[in-house]
Amino acid sequence: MTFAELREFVRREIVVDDYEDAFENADLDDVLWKASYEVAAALDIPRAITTSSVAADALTVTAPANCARVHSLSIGGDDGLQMSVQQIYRMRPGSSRPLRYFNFDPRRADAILIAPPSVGGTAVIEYTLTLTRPSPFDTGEPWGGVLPQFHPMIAYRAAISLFQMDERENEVQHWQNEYQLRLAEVSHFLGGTSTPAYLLSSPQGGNQ
Amino acid sequence: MTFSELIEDVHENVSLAQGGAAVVRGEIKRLMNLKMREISLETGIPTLYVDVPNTGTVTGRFQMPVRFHPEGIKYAEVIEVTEGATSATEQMKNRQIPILSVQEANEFHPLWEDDEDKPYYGPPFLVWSPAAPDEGIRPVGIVSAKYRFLVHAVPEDMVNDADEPFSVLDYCDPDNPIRRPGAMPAYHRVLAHFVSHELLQRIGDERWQAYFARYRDMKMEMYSQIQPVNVYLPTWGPQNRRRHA
Repeated sequence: MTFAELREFVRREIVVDDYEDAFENADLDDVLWKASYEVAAALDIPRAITTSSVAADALTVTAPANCARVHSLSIGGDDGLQMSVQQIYRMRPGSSRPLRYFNFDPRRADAILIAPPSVGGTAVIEYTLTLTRPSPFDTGEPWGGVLPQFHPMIAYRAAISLFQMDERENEVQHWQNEYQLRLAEVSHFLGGTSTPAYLLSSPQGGNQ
Repeated sequence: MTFSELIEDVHENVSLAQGGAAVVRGEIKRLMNLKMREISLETGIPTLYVDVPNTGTVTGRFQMPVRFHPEGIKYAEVIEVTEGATSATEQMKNRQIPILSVQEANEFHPLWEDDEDKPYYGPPFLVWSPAAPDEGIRPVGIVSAKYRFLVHAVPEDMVNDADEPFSVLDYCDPDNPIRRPGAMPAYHRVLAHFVSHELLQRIGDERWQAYFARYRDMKMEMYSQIQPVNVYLPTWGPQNRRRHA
């Protein structure tokens, strides 16, 4: 679904603003964007795989642009385990050897540290992309277009904010439940073992 | 079996164990190469015949085209002579030639001199010392010949997927070494069994015992196939003595 479709969905079917006098389009767009960003962070999506060349004896691999998190790294078929920086430095002395460990910390957001020194080759990196707001917004799709079957949950999450903005808290509960259900569904769909539930907490202790 | 086949074997063995996903290829490779070196030293494989030079004859001091262990030259033979110091040298053709250290040469051939410009008219021999491997092998009493050695070579670490265990790099062309096929292919899997046992033991999976048993049995079978003491049976004195630098 495009953001324009989601906006119509929220306006017509959730907040029922048929006269378009309660919310400006820009308000809805902002709320939808924030909701899509939050859900993407909760689910660690979207992901991408890229390759880059690594020189012999290299101690780092250049992180892809817009990298939020590195899930896996292999160089020349040798896979690495995520490891602390301390362990990385402990493993580093000596000549080049097959990859064992890597470390990418989004708090540093610099290169991917690897150990031991690389024998060189092609690195294959699976990572989570940081999202950028699409432009033009209307034709853009949430999460880079992946998982379109779960895009409506963004509308549910956005609607909760809109109801709170419009002081209609009594209408929040239903959409909050819908959102939690979709979040649970997508988590199971993606193989998650628990539902990320830190975005919303149900006062009734409901679907969490 | 190739390196990649052995690694795949280990991955399959440990993948069902809890924590098996934490085993990376780099660690399997490291353990496999370490064990290959150990088994090579214990069993004396790969042992192979090497002709020096590959074609033609060599004059003067020369280096072996393969890496070998310090005790690694088991036997040497002259297979072709084009120029000798004496006519008797011709008679050395197709016969074993002794390999002596400098001290042994002094003891058994007191008239030789460590001077390559001076001809030696006594029975020919080769001078080589494991304490000075860079010096190479110096023929004494033979000017130009082709030799055949039986050596316990150092198996090169496996790096590429297609590399085989217990294989030797032959530097007959120094810039383009050729990797020979791995020795004892029937027992290559002994490395996979060992590495599987080592990793399962680290993970804490009881199945390590099964792989250790397989490793031990296969290694014993390997020993009985090779009988390292029978690979080389020295025929006369100095070769069987402890060498000194």
